[in-house]
Amino acid sequence: MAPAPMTHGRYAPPVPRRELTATSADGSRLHVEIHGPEAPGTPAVVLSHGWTCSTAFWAPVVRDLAADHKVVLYDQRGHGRTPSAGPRGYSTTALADDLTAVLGAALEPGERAVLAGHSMGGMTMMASAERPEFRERAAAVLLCSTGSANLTAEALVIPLRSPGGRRVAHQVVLGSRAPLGPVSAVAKRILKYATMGPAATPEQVEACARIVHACQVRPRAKWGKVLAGLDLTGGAARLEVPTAVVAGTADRLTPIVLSRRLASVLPQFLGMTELPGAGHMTPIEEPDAVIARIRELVRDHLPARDDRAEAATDAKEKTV
Amino acid sequence: MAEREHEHVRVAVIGSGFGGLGAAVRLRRQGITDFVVLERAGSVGGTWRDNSYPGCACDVPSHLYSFSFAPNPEWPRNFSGQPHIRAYLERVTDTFGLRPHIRFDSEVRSLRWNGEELHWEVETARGALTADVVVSATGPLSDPKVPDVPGLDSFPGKVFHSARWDHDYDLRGKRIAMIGTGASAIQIVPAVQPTVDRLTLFQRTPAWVLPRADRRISGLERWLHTRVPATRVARRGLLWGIREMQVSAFTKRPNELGLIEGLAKGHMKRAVKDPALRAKLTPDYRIGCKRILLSNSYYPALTQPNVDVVASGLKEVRGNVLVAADGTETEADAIVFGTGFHVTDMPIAHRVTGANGTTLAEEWKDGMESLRGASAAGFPNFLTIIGPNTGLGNSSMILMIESQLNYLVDYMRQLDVLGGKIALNARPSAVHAWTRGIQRRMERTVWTTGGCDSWYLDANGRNTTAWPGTTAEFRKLTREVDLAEYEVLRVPASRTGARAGQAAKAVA
Repeated sequence: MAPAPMTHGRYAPPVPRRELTATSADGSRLHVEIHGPEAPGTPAVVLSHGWTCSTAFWAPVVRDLAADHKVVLYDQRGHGRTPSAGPRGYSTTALADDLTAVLGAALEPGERAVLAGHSMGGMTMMASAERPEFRERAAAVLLCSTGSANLTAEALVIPLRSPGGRRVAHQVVLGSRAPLGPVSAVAKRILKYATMGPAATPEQVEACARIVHACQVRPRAKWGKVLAGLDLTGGAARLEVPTAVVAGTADRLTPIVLSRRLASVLPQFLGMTELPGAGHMTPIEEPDAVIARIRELVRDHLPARDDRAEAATDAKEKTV
Repeated sequence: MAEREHEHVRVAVIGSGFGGLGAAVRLRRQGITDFVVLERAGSVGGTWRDNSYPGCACDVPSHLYSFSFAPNPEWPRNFSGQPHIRAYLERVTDTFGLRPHIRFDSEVRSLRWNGEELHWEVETARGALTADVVVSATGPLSDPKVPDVPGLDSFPGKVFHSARWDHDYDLRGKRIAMIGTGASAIQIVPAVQPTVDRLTLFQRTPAWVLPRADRRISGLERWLHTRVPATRVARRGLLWGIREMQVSAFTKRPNELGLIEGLAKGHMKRAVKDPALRAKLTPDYRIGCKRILLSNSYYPALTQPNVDVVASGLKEVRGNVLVAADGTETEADAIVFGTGFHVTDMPIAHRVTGANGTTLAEEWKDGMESLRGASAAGFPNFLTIIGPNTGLGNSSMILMIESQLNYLVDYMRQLDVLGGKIALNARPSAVHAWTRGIQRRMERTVWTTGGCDSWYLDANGRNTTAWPGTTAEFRKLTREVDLAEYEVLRVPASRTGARAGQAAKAVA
């Protein structure tokens, strides 16, 4: 049986205010949660999780932001409570289809939001860059521990010297259907080595392990193959939204060089927050830093609801 | 819109030697056909067209000194001569359909980066054009360097450089002064010695000379290389592998080269019996510090009665008398300069004006530096083939050129991936980091520790030309463009806005 998420403490997933189902372009049904106060005018934040994770991954971030934000979470297909797709349902196009479906279902008409994605969730933002539904909604984007291309050659999980060797080895790991087994001490050590920094606390490792071990083998392998062949640099280059980047300096899965490349490519790059000693799981390892960046983006790029209404009227008048 | 008064191309390649032709082949293979090759002369071949002096040959075996994508099973000799290498490049031009791209007699006069339009404005001898990307394959051995010798103007006889050989001038029965003892001079000396009346060789620094294992490649071998390509590949692989193994002696353990010095001394001793001449010809620096020369005929030629070796540089010319730095006076009918090329001060650098309004020469006044031998900071979408620190002391430059072409191809791919009107500008921090790494490794090399001055070093004594590693390592480091090392330039938003505004006004 899949392990359950943490039940207490900072990493326990909070209870959503509302749950709904969004329907993606190919008919896939996505599990969506809305957290935070219902008051109109509350700034909206949409969070997209990464490979082998789920909405539970964002628990510490949601616990903080939900105090004064409308926080939208969803499970990527094959993860958490969103069912797996058919054999052809795994692609960067599907990532974008799903995100735009969630934006349409969870946001009010005309409502804009700050979007944050971790790892594959960040790739989701790049994949969606040119979708009009995305451009209408995204006020700013935060990319955590992600990259746009060349993941298998750059990853340092398997410590081979040659990039060619690493490419092959990581392809095997990403596409592997080996079960992860129960959350044992050994499994946690392996997970910590591969995805977290040396300073990660046992509680953080436990939280991550419970989330990752809950991921089903088939969608994990299917998405892994998508990641192995990823090329979203073009998407990143057309992400015409103010974008901030967060990366851990000890990230083995998506080493920081991938974030530096994003920094070069992003058209409205705001800056990069390098988290010393942090691994790949930045929202769990350093939730405060991630929360702070999201709050800054909301403050600087998401005007309060009333102003936006005015701005919209202004724009309307102008066009007339 | 009459925005483009002149032609625009995706890529402008400068030069049609090994570098330029190789770039053209790889661009075509990449599906890029919207490019031109600008050539100042009337035919292809670059260095191998210009250097037609008697005895000119390559000192790297031909099976290695050729493109991997254009093998030639028919190489006539181990070390083929210039006519064969030039013919090979002509054939590559035809085989790969490059002729339509080449603009002859189109010397590039200036290159100017337009930061508004994100393209290069290219002025050539035959008109102007613009290009998104410029590939500068002008080569390090293309512009002859003639020392500024007082009184040279007053010399009544013939004067020319080895790379601009005057074939109409008959050397027979003439008194010839050969200035220099580099790779060209040691090929010229034995070739002209039998026909001239007197040959005086002005030698500032003697060179280390090793035997040259040259021979005709037999018909059987050629037949085999044609019928069984694997034999050709194996031959090339062997030639390459041997040279790869030698690299560490040059770059890390120069003392190991001492063994080779014994070989070179023995080589000299066999041909030169006169101890006084031997003393003149024996270098006082570590072998490898200057380029190691290969010849079996150089030393024997120097022992001929019509040859004099002046162990001193040319100081002055008085009429038809040449005065050496040590006071020796020699009469001559012709002076041939084998004095090399502008290597550390690429002439094209004066003609390129980058994003900051400065020329490449100005940016490089303290020494050339480019990211991975290709991109200089402030010169967006401008790539050099055989750029700074890509030269070799012991192997085939074609290997380095092909690595740089891999980089070029990935560069073009990245531009396409990023899409739109875009340019890549090397980050100064990345360029400096790359250069620092090279210079750190340079400290141990024979070029630095060998105790000589050479054409690898620039005016400040810094080695900005040689690659301090193996060709395999360079290949690995230039396989892909790392976007983290570049800044992505886009058309300024204000400009697009201004345009829209103008359009609106026009409508009103």
